[in-house]
Amino acid sequence: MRFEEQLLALVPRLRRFAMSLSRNEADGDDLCQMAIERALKSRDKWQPGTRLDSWAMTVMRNIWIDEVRARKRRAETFVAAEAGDGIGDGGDRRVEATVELGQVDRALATLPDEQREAIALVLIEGFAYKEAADILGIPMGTLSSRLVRGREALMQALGEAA
Amino acid sequence: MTIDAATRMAYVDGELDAIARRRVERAMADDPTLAEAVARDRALRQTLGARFAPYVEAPVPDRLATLLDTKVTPISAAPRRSRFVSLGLGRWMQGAVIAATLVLGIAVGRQTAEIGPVTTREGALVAQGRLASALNTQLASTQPSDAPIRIGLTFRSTNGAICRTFEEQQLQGIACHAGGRWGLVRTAVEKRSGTYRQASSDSLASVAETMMAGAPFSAAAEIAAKDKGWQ
Repeated sequence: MRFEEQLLALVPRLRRFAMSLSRNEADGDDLCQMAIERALKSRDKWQPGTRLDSWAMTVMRNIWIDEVRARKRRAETFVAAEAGDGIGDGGDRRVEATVELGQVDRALATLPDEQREAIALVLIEGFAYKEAADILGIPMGTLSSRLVRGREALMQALGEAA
Repeated sequence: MTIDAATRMAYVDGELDAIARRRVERAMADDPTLAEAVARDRALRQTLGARFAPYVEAPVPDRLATLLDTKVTPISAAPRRSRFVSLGLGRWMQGAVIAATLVLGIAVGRQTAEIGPVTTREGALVAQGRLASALNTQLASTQPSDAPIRIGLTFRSTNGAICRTFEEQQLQGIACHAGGRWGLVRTAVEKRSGTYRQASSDSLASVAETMMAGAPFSAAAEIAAKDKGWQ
């Protein structure tokens, strides 16, 4: 099967992972598109015989990390500007947007990124710990503790909402 | 014996070997609190799975599918919220060409005495006149700085065709050589206003980057490609 066809078969799962990382459909599809484009461009780096799904998710996750860093930089700029103005309506709008999200999304939103991505890979994507740890580039023990903390936080958030 | 949270969750995640699994199951039989915790862990997996399952079951959106559609020729990388009009042929050929012709109206329609830079052939937009001539003969390394049409990058696309980015006064885009013609795969109508122009050129370069197999041509490779008729 051609590389493109194999990747196409993975797109539904890549979308799901993108949605769980970005928690927003428009951002998720943008992320998915960027990941597909980068995967096509760096296809030489994938070794046939190894898992394409893990590789493609690693590509996506690296793009997402860059995006999150860029957003944090932008957010810091905005906060500084708002503080200068003494106007805080940007914050109110963010609250409204959060209220419309579903209960699970709200719970996921409370997690630090590092816990959310561990949860997404293992609990949503169904990767084994070893594979998830490889995708994230962390030791198994670190993954396991992020899963414990992430799950406890999720349970608490979902419990409070119920 | 006590089962810690990490072991309990590893059990739910199917990460334990047979011996460790039995140890957890024995502890669950003795300890209803542990059994309840395991049930909650399982329920959380189900809740999360159900929340994101629709994305796996839904059809792949066209903008993503076209990126991987090997039947679409010459190339139709979907636009990333950009100003570039995708002229991917194939299934949306008619609509795309009509839409693109509207966008290109200014470019096609201006200067009636002179032949426009773009025309249609078999439902695809192709370069003609000065634009075709520039794409065929002009080299980025030797073109004058005030050339009316400027050639940017020349590269081989992932589907094998040689493509070139170009910019002229009102139109810019990417053209790929196929069947002796330059098919336009991306175009944008140029708007002259300060920073916009730079941003627009940057987007064109980034679109080109997604289409490239390998690096853009060097000056020498560009000359060699021209000598071989852009094959």
